[in-house]
Amino acid sequence: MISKNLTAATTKPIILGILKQGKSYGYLIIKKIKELSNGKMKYSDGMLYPVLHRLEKDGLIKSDWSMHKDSRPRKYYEITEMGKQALVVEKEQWSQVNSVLNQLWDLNITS
Amino acid sequence: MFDLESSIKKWLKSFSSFRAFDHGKVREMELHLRDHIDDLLAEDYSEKEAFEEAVKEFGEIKEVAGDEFSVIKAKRTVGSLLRLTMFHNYSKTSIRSLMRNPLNSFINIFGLSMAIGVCVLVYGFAKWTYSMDDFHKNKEKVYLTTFFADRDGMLQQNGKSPRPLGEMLQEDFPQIEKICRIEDRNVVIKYEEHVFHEKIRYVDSEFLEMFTFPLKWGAATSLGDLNSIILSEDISIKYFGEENPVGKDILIKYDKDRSGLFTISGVAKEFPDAHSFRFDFLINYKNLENYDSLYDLQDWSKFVNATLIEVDNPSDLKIIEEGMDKYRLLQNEVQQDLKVASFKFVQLDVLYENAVNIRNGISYPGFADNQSASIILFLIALFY
Repeated sequence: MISKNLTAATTKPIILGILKQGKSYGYLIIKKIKELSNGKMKYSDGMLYPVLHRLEKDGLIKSDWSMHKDSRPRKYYEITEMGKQALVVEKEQWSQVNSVLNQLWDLNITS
Repeated sequence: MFDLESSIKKWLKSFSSFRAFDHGKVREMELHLRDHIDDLLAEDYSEKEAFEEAVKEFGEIKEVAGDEFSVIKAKRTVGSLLRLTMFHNYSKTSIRSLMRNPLNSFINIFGLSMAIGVCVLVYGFAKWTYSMDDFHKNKEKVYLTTFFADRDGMLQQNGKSPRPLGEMLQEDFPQIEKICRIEDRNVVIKYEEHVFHEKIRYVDSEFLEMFTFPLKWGAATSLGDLNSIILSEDISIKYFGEENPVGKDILIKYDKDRSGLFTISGVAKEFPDAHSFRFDFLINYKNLENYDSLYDLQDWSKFVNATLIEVDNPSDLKIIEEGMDKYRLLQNEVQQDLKVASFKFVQLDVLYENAVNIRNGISYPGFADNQSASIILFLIALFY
């Protein structure tokens, strides 16, 4: 199970990554995260919403209520141009972290 | 028996105790919970199990509220921090200097509070006084007939007028559009078991055209009918509560022998606060003659409470005033005790300002005093 702190740290790039694939709403986003991590990234569903609202306030994503007669109303979130740029930066940073960790563990293995 | 809907409603209520959630956010969380419950029900969970599992996975609302609140909280900028620090320092300095001399501080603060309070009071009072009778649309065209008479060596302005004056003015001056005489009498009013001593106002049918007292129910033109009576809203409530009384009959007892049945034909809307005269009951002026055989409309020795005229062009008033001398002579021939020196017309627009100088006027005479009161209160505020 991935720790709570690490899960929290990765929420932003994960949400931006999911929304880059297409617009989605809260429940689907959290389902997708659980699915991708095989349930290892587990944190309370409710904590997703403050993150979504903060990203929206920062202009990285935008939202819109979708109303249909036959289904429940949904608040869809969509990534903005600024969000796409932020995702590129996040990717680079996480790649660097990943590379540092890989190097360390490679060293450990060889030693 | 588990009720899913009421459980969801109860859960949603917990959000209301946190300021961080607006309606949109709560709705979003509700839809999340419902989606999750639907998925769990599809996996053969019972409604109770599905609800409990969905709520458990959603997590503590208090924690979500804490995170949500940090999102909505304004970011602290250098400017806001500076202002906060300045305010903090100012408060500290002020409190220290106030505590150094508590008695002086109390006197200063109390005095300042009183002054501000009195200023607000004066503003409200003055606004009320100066807007007196402003609601009458014809206030610049309507005039009260007054006369000056010698009383103990001094000329006293009087708001009454000789009984036949109104009719004669209308016959003699084409410039006068309308006239209205007003006479007040104390009577006993009886409706079913309600019996009250009241004051009724006899007026000419033009009363509601000259003065702006719109009706809540009924028709203003009904005042032309001798058997109709129009009530104020207060009186209507007093006798009939919130019910529309138009069409009902009430009995007016003039004295122990004479009485008359009147049909309620209208109820006035509530009078605006700033009014200097009003009415409780209105009936046609001609009823005075019908129910009092001794009442003579042509008797120059008797007075009527008020005679009001309406002129289309206020500049015509000069012509009318110049022609008033013949009535003065007529009046003085029969009225030896109260000899008229001259007549004067007082515009409705300024009637309340002059009310204190007019004896027996229809306008409530306390308003000139109110102006003095405004000035006194203003001076008190300045003193503080």
